[in-house]
Amino acid sequence: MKKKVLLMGASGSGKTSMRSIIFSNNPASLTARLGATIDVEQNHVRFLGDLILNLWDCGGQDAFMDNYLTTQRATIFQKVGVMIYVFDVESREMNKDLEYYRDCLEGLRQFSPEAAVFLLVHKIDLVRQSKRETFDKKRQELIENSAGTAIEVFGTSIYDESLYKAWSNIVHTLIPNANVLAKHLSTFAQACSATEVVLFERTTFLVIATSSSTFSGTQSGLLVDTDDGSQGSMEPTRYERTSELIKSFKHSCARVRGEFHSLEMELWDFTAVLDEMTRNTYVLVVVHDPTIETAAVKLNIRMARKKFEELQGNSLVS
Amino acid sequence: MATLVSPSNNNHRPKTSNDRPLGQQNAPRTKILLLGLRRAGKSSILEVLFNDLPPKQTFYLETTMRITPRQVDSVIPLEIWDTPANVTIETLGVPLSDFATIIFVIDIRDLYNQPISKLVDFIIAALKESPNIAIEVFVHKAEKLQEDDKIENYRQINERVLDRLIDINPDYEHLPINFYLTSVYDHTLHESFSKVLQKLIDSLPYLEELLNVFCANSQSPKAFLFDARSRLYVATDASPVDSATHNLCCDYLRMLNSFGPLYRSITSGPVRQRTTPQTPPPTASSSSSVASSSSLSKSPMTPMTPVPHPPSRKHPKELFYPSAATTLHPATPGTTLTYHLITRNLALLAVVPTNVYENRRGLLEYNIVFFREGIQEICDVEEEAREGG
Amino acid sequence: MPEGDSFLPRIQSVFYAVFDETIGPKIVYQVPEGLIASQTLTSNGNGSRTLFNFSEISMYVIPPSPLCGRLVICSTKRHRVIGFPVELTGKYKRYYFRYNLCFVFERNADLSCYEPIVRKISRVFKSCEEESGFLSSAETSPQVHSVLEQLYEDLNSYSETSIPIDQFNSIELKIFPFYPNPPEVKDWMVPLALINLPKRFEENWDLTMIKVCRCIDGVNHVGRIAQLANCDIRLTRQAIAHLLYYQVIMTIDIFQYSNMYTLCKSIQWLADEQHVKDECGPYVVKPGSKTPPDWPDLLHLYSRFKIGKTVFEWMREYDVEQLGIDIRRFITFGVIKGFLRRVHRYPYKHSCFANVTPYPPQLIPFLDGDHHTDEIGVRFGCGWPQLQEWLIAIGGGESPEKMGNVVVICR
Repeated sequence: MKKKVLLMGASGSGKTSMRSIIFSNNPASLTARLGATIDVEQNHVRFLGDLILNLWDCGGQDAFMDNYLTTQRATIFQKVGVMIYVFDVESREMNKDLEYYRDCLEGLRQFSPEAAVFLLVHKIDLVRQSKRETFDKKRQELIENSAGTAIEVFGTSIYDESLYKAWSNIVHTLIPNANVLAKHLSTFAQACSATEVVLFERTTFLVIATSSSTFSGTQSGLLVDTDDGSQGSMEPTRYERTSELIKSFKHSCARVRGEFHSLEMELWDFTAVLDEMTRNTYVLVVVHDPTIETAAVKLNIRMARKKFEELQGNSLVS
Repeated sequence: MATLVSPSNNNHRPKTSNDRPLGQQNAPRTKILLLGLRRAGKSSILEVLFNDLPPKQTFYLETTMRITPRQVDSVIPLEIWDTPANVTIETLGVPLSDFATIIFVIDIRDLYNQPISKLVDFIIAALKESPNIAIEVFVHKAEKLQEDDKIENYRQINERVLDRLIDINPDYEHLPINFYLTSVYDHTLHESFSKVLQKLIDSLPYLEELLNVFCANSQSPKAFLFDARSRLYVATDASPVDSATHNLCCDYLRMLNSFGPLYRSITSGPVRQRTTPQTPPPTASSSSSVASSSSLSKSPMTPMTPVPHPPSRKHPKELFYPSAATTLHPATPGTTLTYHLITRNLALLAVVPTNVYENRRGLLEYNIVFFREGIQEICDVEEEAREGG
Repeated sequence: MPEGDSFLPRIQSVFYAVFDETIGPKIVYQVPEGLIASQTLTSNGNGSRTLFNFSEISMYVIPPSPLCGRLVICSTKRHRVIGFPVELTGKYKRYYFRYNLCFVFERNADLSCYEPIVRKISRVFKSCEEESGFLSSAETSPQVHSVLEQLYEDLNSYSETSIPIDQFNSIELKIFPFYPNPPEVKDWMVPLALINLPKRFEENWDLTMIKVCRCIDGVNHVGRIAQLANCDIRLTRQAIAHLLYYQVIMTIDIFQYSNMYTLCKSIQWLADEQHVKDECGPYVVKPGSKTPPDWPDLLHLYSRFKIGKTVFEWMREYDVEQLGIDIRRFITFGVIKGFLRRVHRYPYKHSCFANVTPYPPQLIPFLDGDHHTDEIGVRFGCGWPQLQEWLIAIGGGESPEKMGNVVVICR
């Protein structure tokens, strides 16, 4: 199954940088070395085995944008699964950005009316005043410019976990049976006496599903508190932070020509095991009961593997 | 600006039983003087090392306007004096001989007279007052230059300082001045500061010896004793330090430090019982049986000989110490990085072959128990000596 | 049309384009103005003047990285655009700096002579940019416009230009028509000057070249020229190849009385050509001789050459010496004009006749029918009579007619 993902936005808004971090495992520090994208750079990312993301990274220079909207209009906007539109939070030409955005929405309505639309207010790390206030204002502005199209807005930065939060939400909508996975994860969590179980995609380390019901695609960005109290008031950004931490550690491992494989921890407050679940997923099991040994958790993961391979297989036939 | 790093800021569990008593705050601290021109990067270095400031944020730090001593609790209590650029020996307020080390920070792009003169002046004044003072030069902001220019500028600064000193007095040729190429954007700052710190630890030879014994008995090719919070290593075994391994350990520690608070649950409450001993810790008598059983199995890995005399411990013993392990592929035959907290501040990071870790984990843990006892004892003695003196 | 090098294609337009961080590929300057429509003016209102729309070719003017640093030629309906896109990295806003200087020609133009020009301009611009940011800095980049103007004017009018750019760099260009590579020069070829070479000598000429040129007289073969000029044989071959490339000499065969010639088909029309008729007599006559024979007589003599008849036999048969004709020049004239052709002898040996008669043993491998007697003669330093004796000896024959195991193929 192939899903076309359009990555659009003004030049220099950070599209290629985020693609490089999420899908090419490059650290944020290297993004300064990326040049401007010329026209459209297409690539295919195998995500969860049978799901293939067809990323269209569209260079945002005016000349290219004009082409997308005129001569290339049908090519660009047909069969789109998701459009991700990136706005530089500090853009000096917000009016022009919004005009192009409205034109793209129009193109999408014409050729792919079913496509989901995500808006990223990017480079939020550059905002020196209240980030929440700035974000809320931008969000309102974007909603007003969307002419009723259902959109989701996230505030993101390549320097923290917010990018993973946004992308996890985006890919979540692309996985057909994410809810079934979540249900089984809850069962698995009970079997392990775990407080929480999180399933990550292997290469991107984006969150696919969690055992708790709090994870859903309806929240808006890092500035919204997802805490509903049921998880013992754990850090609300813990999943995205985990993605970010593991990704950066994977990069450290790659520098010594090693490949990260597994991690187990017995820390003051909890015991945790991060290990392969299926061929293309990793699972994190967090246990707060001090009597549970990591070896027991690992054994449970090994036993659950087959079931989850099956679940994934089923999910992608559809 | 924070001048005091209190133990409660620590990432780890705040109320551990071997927290230093308050009285220890008054124990004499080893003093380090940080000098350099305006915007050379002095405050940035301290913030990145001891306050976990992201390197990118150092850009926003304000200029230090007055002398600011900061207390840092590492393996030994430190007091690091951050200074404004215009400080002189006279305005310092205390004699230079109070300091164990001077770190001079110089921007790698500063090949000019002023910073070099200032450094040379301080070196000469310091040597007059206390001939044994350690002088360290951080050629800083290395990230600003390309690889070739970086080495060239580093070499030039090095040469100019030494030439100037020899001009003044030919005897200065053999001064023990150490130069380091540093940047807050990579691991060079941690590695360099680690080396500076190690010279100030009186008990370093004993720590190193314990690490050597641990490595030899655990088939570990490399082990570091890190100050867990600042990620400076205070000691390592005798095998040469390979930067790549050091950097990986450093990154690993940073990841674990960040993981700790993420899944901490307030409602779950304190779960690890730490003060009531349920089973006695391994002692010399019980260890002999393990030792004999392992010698029967002809394992290349052997338990460490326990610390000979029963320790008279100042603090009650912990039952739980955090630990972690991560496995790397495909580095044949597979490598595991282990992490074990040893004292409140120190953590042991060891590189262990994965098959050893998986098949003889018990023995490894056993060795660590004795390693921990040894280190704790050394630290206690150190602490007593400091308070007594 | 400018006089002179009218065979060089005319530059229709020259333009300089960069990748702009917000706009994308864009033409910064073009000469003459307005011939290439920028993409923002999509209306076809005054389409009569414009050549084409920039957006049609912008993909190839500022292409993705893999095409940078290469010569890129693209065509529109009626034009061809040649450029050399460059991508530099450094302290630029988007890390990369991309630019291209392109020439536009008619679609059917032969651009081969402009390829080195485009490469060189690109090379000079690159070093200017790397040394001082000539292209990227706002102070100096407007100078590019005057560079374009001068390129357009000078190259179209004079086929050469010299444009100083900064203290260290300048663009020095001269368009040379593009010639095919000359055939490989062999030691037995005889160079013949088509122009008066010594008149063209200049101080800065290559020394070997001058020495070689002095020995070119239409008689000496390349191997001998090397000897006479006391030059390395490889350098001599190179010098001759160079002269051949510029078509100031041609090569003919070695003249011997034992040679055979035959007429080519081209005689059918060349015989009626005025320049052949007029030039032949004065060229072939011996100096100080009386008036040369008429063209019909000369043509008759040419027509008597045939395979199997040597020049010596031909000369005897028609008593050519009586006519005051220089026989070498007579034959050379036919060869130069292209209606007379040398018939080479290719010795071929069936099997070796074990004979101890003195002949160079290295000769044997050359007797495979692939090497003619000029080549063998030059290699072993002998004329046809000597070679003939050796061949008889090798073949175990008794006379030039009966060479035994050796046959001589004439073609």
